[in-house]
Amino acid sequence: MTQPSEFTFKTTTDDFESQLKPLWLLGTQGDALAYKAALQMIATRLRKFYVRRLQNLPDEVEDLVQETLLALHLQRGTYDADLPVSSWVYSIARHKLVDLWRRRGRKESLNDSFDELEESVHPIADTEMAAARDLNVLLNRLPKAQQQAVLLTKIEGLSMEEASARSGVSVAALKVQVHRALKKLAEMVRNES
Amino acid sequence: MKTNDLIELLGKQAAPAQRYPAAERFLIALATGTALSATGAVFWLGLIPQNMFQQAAPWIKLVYGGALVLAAGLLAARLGRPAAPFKQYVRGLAMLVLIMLGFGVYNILNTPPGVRMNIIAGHSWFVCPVAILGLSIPSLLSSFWAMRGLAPTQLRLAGFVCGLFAGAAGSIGYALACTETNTAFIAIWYSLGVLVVGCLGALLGPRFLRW
Repeated sequence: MTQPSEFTFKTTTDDFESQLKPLWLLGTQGDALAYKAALQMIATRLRKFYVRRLQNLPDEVEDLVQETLLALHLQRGTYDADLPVSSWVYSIARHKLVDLWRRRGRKESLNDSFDELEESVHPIADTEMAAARDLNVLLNRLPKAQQQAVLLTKIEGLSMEEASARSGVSVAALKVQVHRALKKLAEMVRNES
Repeated sequence: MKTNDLIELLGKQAAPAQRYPAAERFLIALATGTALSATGAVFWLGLIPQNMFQQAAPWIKLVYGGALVLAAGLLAARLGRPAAPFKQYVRGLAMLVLIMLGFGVYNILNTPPGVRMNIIAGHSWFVCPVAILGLSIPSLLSSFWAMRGLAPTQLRLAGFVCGLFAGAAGSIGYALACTETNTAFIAIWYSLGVLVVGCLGALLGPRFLRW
């Protein structure tokens, strides 16, 4: 049946290694073209490596790629030709990633997380957010009598007796209108969403 | 700067890679560190009486310190090289300490139970680790300098091993001023002194070995 995933992983890394190593060895002997090609391959790999690990900090990825490329260049003397180039590259890449986390960890600890703020001090709390649905539009689609009943009792907030006095409709009739109106509104909302 | 521009720039600097400079850096670190701690020991604590050098004790200390410095130095040079395997060197270092502890245990077992505490504690058990810590400061600085020229990727471990290296160099210096003669004392307190400096190195590593 199909091979387990580690098999494909292995072949891809081996591919990477077998293509990279001759280029890298040529490059560190002074072949500029091979060196550029090797760095290009490494840069692509590093980008993937960091994108996966920095999903919360996408802005840092390219900076870290460049920082790592520079470190690889400056420290190329620490590469031991008996070892795979890729594991040397990855171990420096991992080091740079840990260094970034440590750096950010220090800085981040000076900030208060939004999650830890109390609800009352959130600046956004005083502004009402736009609701997706416009209640007025829905109200206009109700029969006139029901519309009036809802406006008086639910939106203006009058008691049944006050609303009855204002509109000249009996309390019992108002109650029925309100009940039917709310039912219809709920139905409209449900159908819309 | 775009990453491609950076690659262009680095490509122009393609040149034969410089030789891995670990050995010479750690040799310099060793020479300066040990010279300074030996001088410190002789000036502050005073050299042991000449006739003591006819006994085995000072030589055991010097050989133990020298072997530790060598093992820690080799391991440190390994740790300065990304992705290089180093387990073998850890084993070597651990073996060395275990052998010395073995001699210490042998020494204790060959001593009548009544006086065992005397050979373990000696007359200066508390001075020894503190003196080694003090005398190893120059080597701690020089070994950190040596490590900073390399590319350690596990900073705490690298700092720890630099500390062991410095502690061992410090113990070489202290051997010139220490009048204890029992192997058990050397095995316990010298090892402990070196370990203390190692822990100090582990504490400082992540901060000062960054690159």
